[in-house]
Amino acid sequence: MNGKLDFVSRSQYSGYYLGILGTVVVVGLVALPYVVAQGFTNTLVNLFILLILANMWNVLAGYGGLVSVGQQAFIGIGAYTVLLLAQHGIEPFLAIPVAVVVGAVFAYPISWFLFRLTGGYFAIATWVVAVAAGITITGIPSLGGGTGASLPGLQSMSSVLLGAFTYWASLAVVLASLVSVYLLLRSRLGLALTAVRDNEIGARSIGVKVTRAKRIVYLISAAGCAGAGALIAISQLNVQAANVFNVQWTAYMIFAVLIGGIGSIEGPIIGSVVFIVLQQSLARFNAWYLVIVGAVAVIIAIWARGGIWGVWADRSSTKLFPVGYFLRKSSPEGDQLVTQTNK
Amino acid sequence: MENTPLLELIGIVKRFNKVSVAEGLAFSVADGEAVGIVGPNGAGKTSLFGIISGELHEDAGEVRLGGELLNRRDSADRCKMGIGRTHQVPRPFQQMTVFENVLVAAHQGAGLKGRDATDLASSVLSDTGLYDVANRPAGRLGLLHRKRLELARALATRPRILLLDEVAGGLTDPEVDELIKIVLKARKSGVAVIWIEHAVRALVETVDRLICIAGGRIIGDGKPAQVLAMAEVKELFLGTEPGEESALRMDHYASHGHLGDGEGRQVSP
Repeated sequence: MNGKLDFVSRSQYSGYYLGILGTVVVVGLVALPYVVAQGFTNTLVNLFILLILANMWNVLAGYGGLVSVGQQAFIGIGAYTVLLLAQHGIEPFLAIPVAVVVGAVFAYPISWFLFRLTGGYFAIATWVVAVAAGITITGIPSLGGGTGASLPGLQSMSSVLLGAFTYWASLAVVLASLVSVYLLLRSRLGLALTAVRDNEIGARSIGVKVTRAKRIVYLISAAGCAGAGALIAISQLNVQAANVFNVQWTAYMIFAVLIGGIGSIEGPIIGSVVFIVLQQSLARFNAWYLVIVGAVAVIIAIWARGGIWGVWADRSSTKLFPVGYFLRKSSPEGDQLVTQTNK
Repeated sequence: MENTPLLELIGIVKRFNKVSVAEGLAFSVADGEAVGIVGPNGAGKTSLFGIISGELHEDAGEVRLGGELLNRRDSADRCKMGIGRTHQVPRPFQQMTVFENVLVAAHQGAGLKGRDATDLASSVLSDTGLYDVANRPAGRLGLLHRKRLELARALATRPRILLLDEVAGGLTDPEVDELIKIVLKARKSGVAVIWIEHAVRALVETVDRLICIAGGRIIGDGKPAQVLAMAEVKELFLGTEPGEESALRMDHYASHGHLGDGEGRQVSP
C-alpha cells in the first residue's frame, strides 16, 4: 500500500503488438496505390477526409463539449487557402500545411466571439459564422465568386500520379490528425479534457482552466477541418463556396461520430468506415440510401447511445489507443495491476 | 503578516430574487483551523461555499485568501491558489478511473507533473481508502466511495483550506467514523477545514469552532459546545415543529449522549 512502490502504466496490456499492428496497417495503406485500382483509392480519399472531420468534431464536441454545426467554415477556409496560394503559383500539395495553420489563425478571433455563447446559441452562432464566411468569399471575384474556380497547378500531372499523390496526401493528413489527437489525449491537457467531458463543474473545481482547454480544442479542430478542406479542393480540382461551406459536411461528421461513438478516438474511425461502406453499397438505390443511413442513425441513437465503440467499450477494457492511466504495484509475483475488488 | 487570516469573508451579500442566502456574512479562518457550519436547510451554507470557491458570484462583499482579493478569480484559479472543495452531490468523472480522477486533480490543482503527480495521487488514494478500487471507473462506485472520491480529489489539489459539503451525508455511523479519521489526518498535515454537515457528531469530533447560519446571517460562532448550547441555536434545531429533519437528527444525537461542553455537562433539549 506504500505509494512509493507503485508505478503507473498507460495501457492495461502491452502496447507492443499494437505497435506492430499499427505499422503493418500504415505500410499497407502507403503501398495501396501500387496494388489496387484508382477507383478504390479515390473512395479511400473520401473516407480519409470524412475521418479527419469526424475526428475533429469528436474532439470538439465529445471532449470540449462544444457542439458546433459550423465546422464547414474551416473546411471552406482551408479549401480557399489552397486555391489562393495555387493562383499565386504555390504547389497545392505544399499548401496543405499552410491551410491547416490558416484555419487555426482564423479560429482564434472567432473563438472570442463564439465563447461568449453556450449550448444551442453557440451551435447556431457557429453556423452563422460559416454562412457569413461563405457569403464573404463569394463576393471576391478573383476567387471565382459564386460559381467557383478550378484549382490551377496540377494540370501537368498524369491522372494516375495525381490520384496517387492525392491519396498519399490524404493519408498523411488523416494520420497526422489521429496521432495529434492521440498525443493530445495522452497529455496532461488530455486528461483534463477528459475530465471536462465527464463533468465540467467538477473539472473547474479541481483547477482545470476549462475555457482555455476548450479554446485549444477549438483551434485544433479548426486546423484539422481546414486540412480536410484543402484535401477536398485537391481531390475535386475545383473550389466552390456552395460546396465547401455546405452544412452537409457537418451533418456527415456528426453522423460518423454518433454512429461510431462519441468521446473516444476509436468511435469516429468506426463511424467513418460505416458511413462510407453504407454510401458505397447503397449508391445504386439513390434516395433510399439516405433513408437507410437515417434509419441506422435512429437505431443507434435509441439502442446504443454510446455508438458502436461504446457497445464494445461496455464489455471490454481493450482499447486501440491507450490514453488511460493504470495504477500498478510491485509484488513478489511481479508487477501487477492494483486489483478491482468488490468491496 | 502574522495576523493575516488564511481565509477572510467581509460583508458577503447574496440574494436569489427575494431569497437572501447571505446578508452581510463575515468571518475568517486561520491557518490550520477547522470550522464546522450548521444551519437549517436553505440557510445559505452551500451558497457560501459557492462564493468562496468561485462558482457563485456575490452581490457585495470581499473574499480574501492569505490577504489576496479573490473576487475576480474563477474557480480553477482559486483551486490552484489553495481552495479545495467537495460537492454535496458528488461530481465524479464517470468514465475515468478512480486513479485518473485523482490524478487530474494533482495535475491541474496541485500543478504537479509526471512521477510527482502519480505519487501524490496514489498516496491520497491510500489515505482515503480508495486504493483497492484505483483502476475502477468512477461511474461504478457506490455512495460511500463516491463521497470519498470527492474528498480524495479535493485533497489531491493540495489545498490550504478544504471545503467539505456534507461528505458524511447518507453514510452509516461506522462509515462516518472512517471519514472523521480521514479528515483528522488531513488536518494533521496543516490543512484548514470548513465542514458543512447535518451530522453534528462528525463536526464536534473534528472542528475547533462551530458557526451556525440561518437566513444568511451568523447566529452563533464559537466553541462547538458553546454554540450548540446557545438558546437561538437550540431553537433553530429543536424548534417547535416536531418531525423536522434537523430536529430529528439533533434528538438522535442528544439521546446518544455524545454532545457535551468542555466541563462534560450534557446538553439536552
